[in-house]
Amino acid sequence: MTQQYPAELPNKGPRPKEELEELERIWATPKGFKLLTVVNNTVVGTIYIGAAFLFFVLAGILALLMRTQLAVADNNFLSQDLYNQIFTVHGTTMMFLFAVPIVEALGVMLLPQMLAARDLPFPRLSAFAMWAYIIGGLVFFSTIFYDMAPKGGWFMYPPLTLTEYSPGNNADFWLLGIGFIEISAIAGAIEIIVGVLRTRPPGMTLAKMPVFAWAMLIFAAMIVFAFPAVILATMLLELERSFGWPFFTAALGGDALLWQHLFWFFGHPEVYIIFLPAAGLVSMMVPTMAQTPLIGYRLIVVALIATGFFSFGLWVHHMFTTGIPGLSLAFFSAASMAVAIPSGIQVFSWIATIAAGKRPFRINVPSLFILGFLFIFVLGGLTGVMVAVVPFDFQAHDTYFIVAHLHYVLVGGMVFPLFATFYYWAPMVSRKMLSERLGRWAFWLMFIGFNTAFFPMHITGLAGMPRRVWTYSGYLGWDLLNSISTAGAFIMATGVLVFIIDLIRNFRLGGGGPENPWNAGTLEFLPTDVYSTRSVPHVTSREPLWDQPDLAQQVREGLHYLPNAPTGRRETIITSVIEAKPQYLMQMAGSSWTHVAAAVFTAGCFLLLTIKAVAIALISGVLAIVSFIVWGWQLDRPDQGEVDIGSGIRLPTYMAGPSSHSWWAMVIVMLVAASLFISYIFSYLYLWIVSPEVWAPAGSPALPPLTYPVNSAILMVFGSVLVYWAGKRLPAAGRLDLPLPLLTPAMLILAAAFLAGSVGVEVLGHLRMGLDPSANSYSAMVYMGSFLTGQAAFATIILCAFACGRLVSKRLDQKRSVTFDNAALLYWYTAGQGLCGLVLIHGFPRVIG
Amino acid sequence: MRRTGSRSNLQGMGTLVFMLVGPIVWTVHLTLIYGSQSLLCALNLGEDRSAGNAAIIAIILVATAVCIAAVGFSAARPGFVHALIARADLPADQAGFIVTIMRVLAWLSILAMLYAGLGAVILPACGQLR
Repeated sequence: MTQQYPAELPNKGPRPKEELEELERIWATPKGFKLLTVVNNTVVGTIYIGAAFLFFVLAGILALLMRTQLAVADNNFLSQDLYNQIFTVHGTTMMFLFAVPIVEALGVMLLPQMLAARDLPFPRLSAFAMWAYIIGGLVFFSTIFYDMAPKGGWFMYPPLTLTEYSPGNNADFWLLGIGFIEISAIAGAIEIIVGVLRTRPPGMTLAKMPVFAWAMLIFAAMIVFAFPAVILATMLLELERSFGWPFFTAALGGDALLWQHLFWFFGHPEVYIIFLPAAGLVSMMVPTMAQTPLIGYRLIVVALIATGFFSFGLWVHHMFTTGIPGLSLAFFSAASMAVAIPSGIQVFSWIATIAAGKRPFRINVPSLFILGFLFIFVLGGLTGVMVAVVPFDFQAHDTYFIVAHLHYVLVGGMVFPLFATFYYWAPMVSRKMLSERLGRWAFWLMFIGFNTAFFPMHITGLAGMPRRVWTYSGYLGWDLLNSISTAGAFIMATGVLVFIIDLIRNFRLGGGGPENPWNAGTLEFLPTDVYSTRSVPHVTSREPLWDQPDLAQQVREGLHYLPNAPTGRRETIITSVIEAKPQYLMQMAGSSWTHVAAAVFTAGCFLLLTIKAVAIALISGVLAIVSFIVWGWQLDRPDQGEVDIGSGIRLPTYMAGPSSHSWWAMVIVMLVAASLFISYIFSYLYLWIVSPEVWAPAGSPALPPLTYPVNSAILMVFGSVLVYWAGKRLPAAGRLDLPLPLLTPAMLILAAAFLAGSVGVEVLGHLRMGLDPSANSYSAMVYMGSFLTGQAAFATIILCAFACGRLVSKRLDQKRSVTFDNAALLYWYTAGQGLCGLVLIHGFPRVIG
Repeated sequence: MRRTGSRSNLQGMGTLVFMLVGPIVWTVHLTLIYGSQSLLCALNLGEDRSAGNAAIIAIILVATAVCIAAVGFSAARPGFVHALIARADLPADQAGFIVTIMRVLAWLSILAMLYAGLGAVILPACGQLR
């Protein structure tokens, strides 16, 4: 019988057999040793998740060691020093090496399938972020084995972490290692934002976007604005430890509380950075298990956005006991309670969806973990409201009550949904489903173990047991509660062990598993292969698999958009931001060694600096830059003409300017840089507010004459104008810029030189006046401004030189101008930042007299 | 379905900003009131109730009133504000979703600003509460 195909579908069937073979060839996963070069999102996502889970297990083992030490009073199982290292590495690993990376990994793996894209827009960037994280994370974690691990707690407060109180390289491993991993997290965030906004399938408007995509968009945006604060903090502390620039030393005008402000401006949103994607995952699973659309989709979107924003207004509630004005206490207390509202909206929406199900809510392993999450997270939220009440916080601060609260929020809010995710989405990448029987064992052991371990800690805390104590006296009456907690921890660990056994027995990477075993409504359960879906569906609702029963078959037969590879390479459809209308076909990067080399050498540079092997670190840094340049050189492929993707839609295969995905990525990079610089401005003004009488201290050199900042500003403005003119003079495609073919490259080189010169003039001015960055916090802050602008200028100069190379080799012209656009955007941003810095450094002290 | 050009992407960015008007103004409000309070307290202008505290209360009240008015206007006249930010009309088939999200966020932000601003009138600005 001949197959009948609906006439209104984008493409007609049957499709030629060669199309599928070509797709399989183009998207094939490298074999053997070359697997290291892989960029396919399902493979990268699986390795990424595996690495993050490994860190979860390792940090969990450290937790068991701590619980063993605390099981009885006056115990000597661990030495005090090792205990300090263990709780620091446990917290740091859980927060930086497990929680954030595994969410990014889930984004890399799930988003392209949910959006029916061939891949995320920068597949090498995802792979780079993964390798950088794995290398940096393993080196950081291994410090525990040779007594080199940091000991200052996961938040590394100075003055404890200053060289005076933490000699050796232990703290530096945290500062440089974690700082480096944060950069990898930002790389992942850029990928996710551009991916969600630009690679949705045709028809998937904002109103039809899966909630997980919304959650990941907000998660990534929060990383863009939150992580720079802690990156700046780590830079300041490392500069103080290595070069004596006194940002945190009170005797020289610094303030240890500056660290707390910067750290918690990152640290509190971090809680929601971890929670929101988990909430997004729950919002995907609950409707499937209830077999009904999510109740209150719009309110959930509102709740995600509101939580994302309001979480930035809560950081001071971690500092209630540091001695801040009463009004600040009241303000941040109110904000801390208010953030419970959007979280509550989500909880009620899930409960309503469960209640409104067309059939009784299915009780299986994913839904058990979801119900466990609801129970534990709500309890954690309630204690959160308790500690938002200032007088109660004064009592509970730095006690085991806080340990209980934060574990209820983080394990309940993130780990339980994560295990639900493992069971729910395993069929997407595994040939076999995970075991229902073992999964139930895992859940009950984890649920009972968790509550046995952490509920008693509320009481231990209220009984006065402080956090981070190595041991305690038997006279204090904490023995029994601690013994119960230790037993609970081991029960929970057994649950994780059962899950690992389930993985070993049943998880087999590869296709051919059951199709849509839960009868889900979203696109990730479409039939997929290495190229993602055979064709990209036209989406008309939020649950397309429920509303279009034949969709899976149509997609598999290539009847929707892009059933082939018209350019003969990897490609995906780029759509508009709001309405998801097709705009162009993006030519994507494939497997390569370049991003692997970039990750290895970047990690080498940071980690070698930690042990003060400066010369080798610099060589590694240069090799990293070379790797990045080679990587970039292979991108920005030329236009292949217009191609037909179906429904008569012909798309261009090249795009520059605001329509280009790379333009959006560069804008996000600029937002990251701006967040970093705003954190610096805050730090400068904060230190002045704390000690205005030493800004600058008596006897400090005067500010340089105004000719210095004016000349510096003139150089930046002239450079910006030169870049603008260079943009106007780009040659037509395939032609030389006659009569002066080297004029445009020369203009770019000159602009780069102006930028370098402007930073040089600024630094020279202060040096000539005799300002010493190690003399006091004021002078350190002055040089820090130039340091940050110099950093941005360095990246801009490399981009300008890169654009020159592309111009000279005829790879850059009026149409193929992405490289130039990026260099120009970053140049203008850097010039703007530099000008703001000049106003602050030279204007502010003159204004305040 | 037709393909769209580069202008729609800038308009799309404008629409995203439009949806976030409430929380963005809330951010400005937070910066204004927390910054000015810290500044005046640091300059010891907040210790005297007749001088600094009055200044802090005035700043917070004015900032709160202006910010709430701005967000309230956006919620009341979404079409006008969208045209102002995105230089385009609301996308016809998306208008309901976009305006609903924008309005609920706006009301939540107004609530948050009222809640935060309230502290200024009932508590000493710079005094330590312990």
